[in-house]
Amino acid sequence: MAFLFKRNPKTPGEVVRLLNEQVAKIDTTNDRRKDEAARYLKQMKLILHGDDETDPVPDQIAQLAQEIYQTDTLFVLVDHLGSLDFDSRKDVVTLFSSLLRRQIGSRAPTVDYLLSKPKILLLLLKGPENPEIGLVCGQILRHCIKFEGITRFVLQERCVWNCFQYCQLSTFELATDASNILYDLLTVHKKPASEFLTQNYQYVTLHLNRLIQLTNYVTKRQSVRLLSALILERQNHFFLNKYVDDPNNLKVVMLLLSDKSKNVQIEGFDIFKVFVAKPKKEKAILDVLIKNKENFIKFFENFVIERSSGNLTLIEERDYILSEIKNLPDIERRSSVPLVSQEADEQVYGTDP
Amino acid sequence: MNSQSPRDLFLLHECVGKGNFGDVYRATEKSTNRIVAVKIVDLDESDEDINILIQEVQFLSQLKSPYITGYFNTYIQDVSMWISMEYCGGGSCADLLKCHRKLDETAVAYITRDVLRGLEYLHLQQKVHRDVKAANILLTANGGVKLADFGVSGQLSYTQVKRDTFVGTPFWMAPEVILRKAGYNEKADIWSLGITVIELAKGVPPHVGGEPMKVLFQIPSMPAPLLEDDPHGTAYSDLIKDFIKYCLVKNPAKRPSTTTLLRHKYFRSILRKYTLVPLIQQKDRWLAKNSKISKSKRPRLSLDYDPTPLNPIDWRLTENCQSGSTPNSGGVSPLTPKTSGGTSPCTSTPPQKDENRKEDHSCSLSLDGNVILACLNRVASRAKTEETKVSVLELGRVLHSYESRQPGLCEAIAEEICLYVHKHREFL
Repeated sequence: MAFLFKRNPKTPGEVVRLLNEQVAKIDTTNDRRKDEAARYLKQMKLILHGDDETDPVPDQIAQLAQEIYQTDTLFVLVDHLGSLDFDSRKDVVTLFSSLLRRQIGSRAPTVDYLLSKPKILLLLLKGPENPEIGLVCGQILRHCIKFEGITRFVLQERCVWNCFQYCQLSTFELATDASNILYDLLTVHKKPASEFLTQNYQYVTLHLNRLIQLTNYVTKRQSVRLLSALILERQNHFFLNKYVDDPNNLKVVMLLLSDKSKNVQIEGFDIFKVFVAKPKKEKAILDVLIKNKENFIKFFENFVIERSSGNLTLIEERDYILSEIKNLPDIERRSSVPLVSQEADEQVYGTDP
Repeated sequence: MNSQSPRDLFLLHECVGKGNFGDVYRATEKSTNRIVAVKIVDLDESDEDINILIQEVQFLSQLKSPYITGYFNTYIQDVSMWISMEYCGGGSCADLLKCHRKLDETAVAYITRDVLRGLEYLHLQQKVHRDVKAANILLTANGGVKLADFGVSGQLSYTQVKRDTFVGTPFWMAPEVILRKAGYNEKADIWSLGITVIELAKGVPPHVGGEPMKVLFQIPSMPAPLLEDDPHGTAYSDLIKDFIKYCLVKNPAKRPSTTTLLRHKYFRSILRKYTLVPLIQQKDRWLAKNSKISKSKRPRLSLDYDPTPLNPIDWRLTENCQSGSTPNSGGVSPLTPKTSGGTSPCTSTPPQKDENRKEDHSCSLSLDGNVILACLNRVASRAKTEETKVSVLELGRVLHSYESRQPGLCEAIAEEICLYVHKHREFL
């Protein structure tokens, strides 16, 4: 093993210090520091993961992590992500993911560290604003929000709302990535997600409805998928109740049913059925349903489901919804007990938070 | 997302290939006037979760290597996705084989080295290609070698160390991929590369005449294939044989990595000024002469063209292996049960259309005009006795060997049948 020490004489602490030095002085005119930084990042990867010939040593990993926390290396790296070379950026992603997974007892020291230095997470959230590094930031962020504490933190930040804007970016990778991040934020950790949805019902639906009505097929599919997941999650009952009482939402979903894409229709149906199946409907909802009764009957009688998997339940559901619609009165009628309106308690926002 | 319509951004030329998930066109990007390859994927047709396709694109956009086809951009037009990529004007290595039958050892070494470099890059990032074969090695007009078609390539993460899905093409499949015992990792690509080296040097991969199902069982149980000297022809050097032996180690843990293989003596003989350009140009002239092909609906051979008609059978096998067996699709014949994209009357009744929609979709993508072979295969599956079946399969095998000598033969026969049927209908 002696040759290894010759090849790699630096301690983890030294590697981190040297990396910080090089990255801080990187400039565009000279590739030397970029190459040096790339080399040190590779050495860190070797310490963390070993290679064909060597196994990682826990002691060295601990030293490395300690030095990284103490010198704010993660911030330095994210801050200079755009100046690192293409493949080094991916090494930064790996570095984050390995450090995040490190546990001491029940503690995840990197999670604690990131929460104590919010500027790193905030930089990552703004990643898509720089197309060159947007996707890499997104990948790092996704590793971070696997942890409930970080999801909770991110959901409390104002700039989380930017994600809805990023979903409409012109770069395909960035837009779809933003959409996936939103999905993870709002579905993986049920508790913080449901609290967020309760506090921000109005805004979330406003943004989602807007995304769903865009002409871009992928944006539409991704936002419908997110909406579906939010509604069908048991923890989100407050959100669900508010959602299905709003005739505006119903109208958006009806547009999905008449979309030319079969997949959008089926996904729209998954949401539509919730409006119809709710036992005590708001008057406004009933009005819309009754007004369109004939249309619905015509539509569902021709609503052919040909997807190979799981279409049995889908067909049953369709038939159930059809029978429910047929049972609707033909003339307008008052719903028995209108739900208590909670609108007065709602905080009313301007256009964008 | 993008408000610009890709229809305005690109001028589409001929279809140059049918890859996983979609057709590939040669196109001019209007703003830059550069020639690119555009892959068009119908998102609404695909039963595949749209997120899988999105992941593919995000993964592609994170690759930058001279040995891997470059990714430019993705646009959405209605329900289709347009992916623009680097155009490889030299066709694929499978194209080269069509013209040259087999390649000399220097060419093989040159191609293999660059493919290894591409794989080294992929493996460094915990990516497995999963479908290495001559048809997926593309060439640029000036002789660059590029690994292509990541349609099914997977991503490994440090936590999930082994893939556990069944993808690839039977003849090129590593034993551990077939056995699916403990999943597999990037070493599966090394095996496929070894098979590809045999394919390039001999013209066909090992077991090529055999029945795919049988071969699938044989690969794990038989000793690894070797490159053997042709009794009436080529004698291969010890270096290439040795290199192949290293790639085809049955135990993946003992199979060397890309980096180790790149140090093999086999590559030392490659001269710095060596170029594939003459081979590519010869092939282009050969293709131009072969008017049957250039006049056909495919203006040139597809990027994905495979000299054996057995190419996409993996989809069916996947299904069969998982769900026991369906008698008709059993994959017991050496001919691909392809269904066609509407070029012949046989295609109006693709087998088990609803049951196997995805499979049929992928099969039709790489039909490559082998309607006749597909029909023969269907005839074989209808055979009542084993003897009939064997005869039909034998006929297919003979036809196939003529097809590879006279490309376009099957297509011509199919055309004649079409004409005949149409004429016949008029009489009725």
